[in-house]
Amino acid sequence: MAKCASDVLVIAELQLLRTARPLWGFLIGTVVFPLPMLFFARYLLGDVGERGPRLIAGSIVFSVGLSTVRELAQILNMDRFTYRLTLIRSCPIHPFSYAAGMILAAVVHAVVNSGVVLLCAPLFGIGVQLSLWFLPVTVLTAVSLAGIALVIGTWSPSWEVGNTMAQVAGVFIVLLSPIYFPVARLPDWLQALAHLSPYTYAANALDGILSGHGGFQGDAIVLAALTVVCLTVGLGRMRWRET
Amino acid sequence: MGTPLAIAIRHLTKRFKNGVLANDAIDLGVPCGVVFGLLGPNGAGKTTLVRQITGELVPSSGSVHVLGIDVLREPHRAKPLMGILPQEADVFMALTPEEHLRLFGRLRGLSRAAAAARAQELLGLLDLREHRKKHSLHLSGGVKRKLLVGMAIVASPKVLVLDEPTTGLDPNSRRQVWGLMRALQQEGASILLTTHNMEEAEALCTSVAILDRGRVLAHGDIEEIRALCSHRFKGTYRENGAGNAVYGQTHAEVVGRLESLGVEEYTVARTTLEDLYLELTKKGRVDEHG
Repeated sequence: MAKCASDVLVIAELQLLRTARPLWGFLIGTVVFPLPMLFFARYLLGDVGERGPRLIAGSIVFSVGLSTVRELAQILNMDRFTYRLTLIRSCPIHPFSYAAGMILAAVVHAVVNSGVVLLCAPLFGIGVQLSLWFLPVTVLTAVSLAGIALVIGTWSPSWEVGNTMAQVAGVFIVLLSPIYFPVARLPDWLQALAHLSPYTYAANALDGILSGHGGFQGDAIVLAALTVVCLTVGLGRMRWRET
Repeated sequence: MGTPLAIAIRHLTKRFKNGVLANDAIDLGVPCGVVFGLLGPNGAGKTTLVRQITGELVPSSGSVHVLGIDVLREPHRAKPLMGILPQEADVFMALTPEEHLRLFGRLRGLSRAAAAARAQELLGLLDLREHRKKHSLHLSGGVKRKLLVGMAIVASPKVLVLDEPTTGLDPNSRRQVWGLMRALQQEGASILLTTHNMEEAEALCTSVAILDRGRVLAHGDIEEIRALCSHRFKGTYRENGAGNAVYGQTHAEVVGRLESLGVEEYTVARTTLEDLYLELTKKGRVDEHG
């Protein structure tokens, strides 16, 4: 058990060192990617009124989607096809420890990104209410989206397909998901798809917390259920030995 | 009771889904405390065999035991005993050599303090101190390979499995790695390495096996293996800029043949492992093609 815990921390440290270098690139990525979308949505709306917290929630989900789904999926994919995973597999480490370490690193990134977006909210004239639930729901969001990355990283048949899937899941789908506005605004056929996306429930839950309206528990439970599904599929597909 | 085996391979067969028979009923034993060389041409099945020994690849049939532990059934018990250097492995570009050694030391079971100390020790032994703070992106291929060797031996394993450990290394670096391997062997480690470099095999190995087309052509102590060569002596000379060789059972026979060819400058020596390797692998191809 102690070895498993140590392995998780080592993998997380390894991953954080990789993704935080160079530091200027990490800082730019943390700031540059989420804020332009927030800027665009904020000033497109003009008077945000009560929709401000939704914009912040949407920006957080977008930022976490980029750093966990796209980035993590690309790294998992790259490690498989460039023999770096071979190096890790040569060590006495359980595959679940590897997955947990990668997810832990993604969660740390997500929390940092979320913090940056929150700090910038006043700059855009948006007021939010913080509660203790913000951090656990942000972590749950990151873990659920990391589960998607795990599925992509372990299932992709080639580097090229994996990278494409990472872009689709990390950028394209999030832009089609109702993260900046309620589901009801989408056409019926897109609403059905939106109800399958963890992004939808993550944005709803964070909106409920940041607006102070509450009622986020239902979305958090669905998000947790989707997390279990994605992690189960991703971990189940992960093979430490080839046949 | 026979010699205890560090690695026991019993009737190991690997047939891939495309029908290729990479390993055909291989029986081999690596005794404890020796350096065992696995030789063979490209495509012989060496790396496939090594990947099954390390548990990375599941065999079609047969078994592999490392220090008595079944690698297939109990990989979680077998892996901690092994230090592994895969043939195809790459370092993490954003990490420094020091970070690689420290983190992989921990993954291989060392405590935080022990991993940090061992990392410093290996940086010195492998002549990597000047590179210790550089990102691996800026390291040459040879330096990266030395680093990978260091990562395999960081936890001073009882069994070391190295797939072409010195590929790409300059002669000085190669000898540094040989020195480390000899030191580990003297501390009781058992080492299995694959190599194309006959000089390396002759310099390091106590025992060898020669593999071709998925089968073991010969295996045993290196002196026994050398004696399998059809000819005991070889004479080499240059003609029109190209190297040539003649073979014979005695020194006098070889000299006689060289002089009958009108060769004035030549060298006569005992046949080497390379000569046997070429003879066996060429024979295997001739037999197959008729």
